[in-house]
Amino acid sequence: MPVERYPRGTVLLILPAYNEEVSLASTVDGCRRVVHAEDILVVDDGSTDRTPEVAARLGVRRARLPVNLGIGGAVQTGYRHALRAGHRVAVQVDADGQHDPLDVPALVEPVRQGRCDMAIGSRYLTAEGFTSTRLRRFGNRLLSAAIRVSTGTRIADCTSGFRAVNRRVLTSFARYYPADFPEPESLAILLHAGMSVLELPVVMRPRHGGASSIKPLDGAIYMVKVLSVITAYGTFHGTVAREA
Amino acid sequence: MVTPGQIALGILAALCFLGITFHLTRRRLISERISLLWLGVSLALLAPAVFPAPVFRVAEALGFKVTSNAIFTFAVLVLLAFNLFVTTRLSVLDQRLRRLAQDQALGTMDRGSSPTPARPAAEPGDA
Repeated sequence: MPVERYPRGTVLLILPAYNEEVSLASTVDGCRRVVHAEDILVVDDGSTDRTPEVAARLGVRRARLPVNLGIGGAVQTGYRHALRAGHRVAVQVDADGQHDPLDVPALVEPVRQGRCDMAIGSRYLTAEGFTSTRLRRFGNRLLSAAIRVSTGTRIADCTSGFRAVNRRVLTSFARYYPADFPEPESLAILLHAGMSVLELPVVMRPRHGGASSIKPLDGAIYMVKVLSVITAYGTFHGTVAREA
Repeated sequence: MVTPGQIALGILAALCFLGITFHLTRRRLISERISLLWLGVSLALLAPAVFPAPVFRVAEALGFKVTSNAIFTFAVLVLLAFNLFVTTRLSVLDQRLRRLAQDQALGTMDRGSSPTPARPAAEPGDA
């Protein structure tokens, strides 16, 4: 089914890429079906493989970080560009091929219509598609429970990076965005600041190539870190609301 | 009580520390702001070395049976506080480095196949 592309300069797709030479081109091809090439920003997070060369051939915007900042730093680079360039909506799309760009309109529309500040593409609202390992699903449930206790809002897939945000969120994220494993923490920040989040079902796919940046031990460390930060946000609610 | 030899050792250690602090500051190996802190630590070491009696009285007043325990306790607390201070400074530097890397990436961004779509808008923290 043909998809109508968004007008230039309205919706920015941010593709954080670290060593994604295998999957980047096919992900960008998919993204071209929903936005114009200049509204696709590949943020190369200091890749050591051929990601820069692959990105250069694709005719999309490229920002190459001089050092590896991690997923949070890379995505924030995109948010800062979106805010400066005047985009109304920015969508993070993982370069590893897990997110289907054809789902982008489903996330963008509720944000454009003002029904929410952030729309999350959720793996866990339906039982279809790739839903990660059992250990990660358990981790997600734990984080989801922490966010629910801390903010009173239930988010089924709080680790999903497939998210569309409006300019209100962009303003907040351009100022502060967590460095490592940023999705749950940034969600807690938004919810505490009174912004609205909507979850929509999407079907995610296994990675097309490359390796996940999260190793099991890192995952455990991040879990402790994120849980403590979310708890701290719950404790110092007012401070966080002003920050965001 | 404290023997003259122990007092001399304490004074010597404090003066060495003071000398190292001056040397590092002069060579600009530590910033002036941090050197002030270390200068304070040096003087805090020198004072009880020259006048040990008040240290005994304070330790006794606080209920320490052995004065050295009180000194160790204070030393640990001071080191913890200093560690926390250094950690906060490192975090600030980390944030600045991140911002700098992002600014560099955005400044040298390849614009792709078409020109910039929209007018630039102000970003918080740009001013």
